[in-house]
Amino acid sequence: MTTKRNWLKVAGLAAALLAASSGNGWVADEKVTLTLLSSATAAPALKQAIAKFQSANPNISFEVSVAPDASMNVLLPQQLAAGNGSDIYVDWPGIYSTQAVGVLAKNGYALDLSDEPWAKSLTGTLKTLSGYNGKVYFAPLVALGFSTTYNQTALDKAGLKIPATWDEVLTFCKDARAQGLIPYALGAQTGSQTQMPAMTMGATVIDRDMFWTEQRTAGKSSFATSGWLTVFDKFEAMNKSGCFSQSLGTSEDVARSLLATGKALGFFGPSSAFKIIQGMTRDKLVFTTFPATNNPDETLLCVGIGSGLSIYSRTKHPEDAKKFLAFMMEPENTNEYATATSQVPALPNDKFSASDSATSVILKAMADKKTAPLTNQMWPNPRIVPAQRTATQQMLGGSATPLDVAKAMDQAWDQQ
Amino acid sequence: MSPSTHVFPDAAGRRAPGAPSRLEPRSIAASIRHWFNVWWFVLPALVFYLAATLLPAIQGAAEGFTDWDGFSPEIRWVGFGNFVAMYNDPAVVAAIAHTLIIATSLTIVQNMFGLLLALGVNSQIKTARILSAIFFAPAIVTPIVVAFLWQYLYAPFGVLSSAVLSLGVESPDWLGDSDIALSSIIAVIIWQHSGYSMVIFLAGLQGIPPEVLEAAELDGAGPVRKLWSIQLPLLGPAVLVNVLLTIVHGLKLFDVVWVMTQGGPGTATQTLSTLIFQNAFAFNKVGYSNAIALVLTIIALPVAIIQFRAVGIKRSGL
Repeated sequence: MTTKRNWLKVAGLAAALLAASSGNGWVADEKVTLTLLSSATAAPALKQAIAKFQSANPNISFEVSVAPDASMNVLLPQQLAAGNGSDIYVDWPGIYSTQAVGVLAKNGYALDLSDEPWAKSLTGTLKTLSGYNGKVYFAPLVALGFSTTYNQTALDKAGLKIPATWDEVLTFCKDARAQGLIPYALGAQTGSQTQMPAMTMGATVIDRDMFWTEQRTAGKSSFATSGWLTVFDKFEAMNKSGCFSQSLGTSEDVARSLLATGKALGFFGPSSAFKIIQGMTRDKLVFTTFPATNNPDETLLCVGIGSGLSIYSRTKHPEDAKKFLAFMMEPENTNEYATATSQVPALPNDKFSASDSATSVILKAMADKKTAPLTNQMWPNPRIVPAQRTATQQMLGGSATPLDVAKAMDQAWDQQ
Repeated sequence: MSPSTHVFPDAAGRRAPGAPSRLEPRSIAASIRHWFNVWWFVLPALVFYLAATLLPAIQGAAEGFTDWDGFSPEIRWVGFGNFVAMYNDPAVVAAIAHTLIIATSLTIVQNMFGLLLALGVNSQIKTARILSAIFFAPAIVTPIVVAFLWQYLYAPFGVLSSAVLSLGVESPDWLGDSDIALSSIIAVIIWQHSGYSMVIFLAGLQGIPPEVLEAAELDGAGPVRKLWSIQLPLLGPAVLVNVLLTIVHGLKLFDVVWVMTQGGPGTATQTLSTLIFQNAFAFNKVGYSNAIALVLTIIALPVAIIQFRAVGIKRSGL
């Protein structure tokens, strides 16, 4: 009996040791739910990525909430300031708006990601835009171009060609108006659209790298005394030449549908809009650079870092959140996300191939070193962009001059 | 005294005939129980009102004297600095003007349309009930939905523009022309809410004793005379209610303006409410935004006092 009891004890101990040595010990992987706040534009692609992540990490589930893009700059900072921010949130690089990572990090709402392996590969402008005070707080997923999309089918019908020089732009507008067509659909009723022509032309005319922004930050230049005034002059010249039609009464949605239906021949906007507009029409669309001078060789494509991901500084699951960001920053997953959103990876890799006209133009411009960064992402406070939008609307309405636009932006810049 | 005949004291504290006096003896315990029961029912609503309305309002008012950006833990007291800045800010001056224009336009035009609709529906036409439902229908649609709908109707190549073009006339830029954008928005609000004013006027018209109008007819009064000398004077309370409602509505209007134009083009349709929103959430100037909100409160205060006194007059039966 004693021998039998001893054998039972040994068997029991062996069974316990076996259980302890398998898997992760006594307790299975802890189930974690991460909350994620996404913009409407990023949500479909993010959900696809989440599904893939979850198949490899079944213990991590997600609660995704989606907000309209236009509401993110209100909803995101308010949630963070109120203490009920999502563990992970979609935001933008730089410090130019209330949903830009620099502003959020400055106020302590973003987690320091500097020690992440992918963060160490960020250099130069990309690193500057992804952080604050030398630290990284933002996972940059994609980059996008800001230029013009044309309806090639409508152009062919009208017998017109995409202009290659500045003078050809003005002639193009005149010829299109003569046929009762809108040369460029500009949804200036929507604030962000008012910036598009200026940012597109600014890449070529003024800010080939971040040099002007640095000069302005040091107080050695201003909007009113630099090539930015030339940009606003050209913007006004286009308006007076009839390049836009009732732009102030047109929203971005209406502008896109004007291009899709062929009533307009061109549209100023980000490359991410290309896929959206292509989904509205069977016409052939082309995304291309916009000539702001009469020398085609000078034309540069404005390329900016698009939305990415940051982690709430007060998250209860920092390691799991970091795991998801590391997953998203793997080239294969970034490529899939970029393809789904008609953008290119922010960190270039040779495995990405263009999926449409817009992304192939961006990749070619990057390869040919014919790009300039979207410099407003480094403007120092969130009042400059709204000042630009308001003053530009007044210029389009004829109640302000290009100099007024430049001065309004300088005044907003100097308000710290 | 039966519950049906119980009458509360009026606003001046005068007791209706036959009502129990507050001086009638009651035991202390009964008194405590009475007031405990009263406050027990009032307490949840009072707590909610304090937490959701009064305390945030006081906090917001205090923030109007700071330069807080809504984010940072540091809040700096600036005294009347925000109000001085407002005095020199052309956007604020324009917003006050636009807000008053909206409130005045709604008060006059919306109520005029409402009265005309009520007079029409109150006539002997067979389709009166159907028509009153049709006229009231827009009032039950969410304002944001109405704003989006009309944004598309007003758009270039939209229904309205196409209709005007079909007449051989160039269509105006309804929301893009700074001279007419505000009027375009006001027209939408009037379209949506005239039915609401109509309903209140209709209730007033239907409360006029028919024999009064019959007597006037016998004396030879025509429709215009009846309207001017009998119906309008007896519609006094309905007019007062509609005027106060439209003034308050006009002063605090935000959703329709924000959806349709966001205060643009430029600042052509900027109101105090949109300016408050923009300063708080686009410019990170929460302190300044609260200062503007205080100004709006001061503008709306006389209306609130008039409304309060009007309710008091109504209760006293004067």
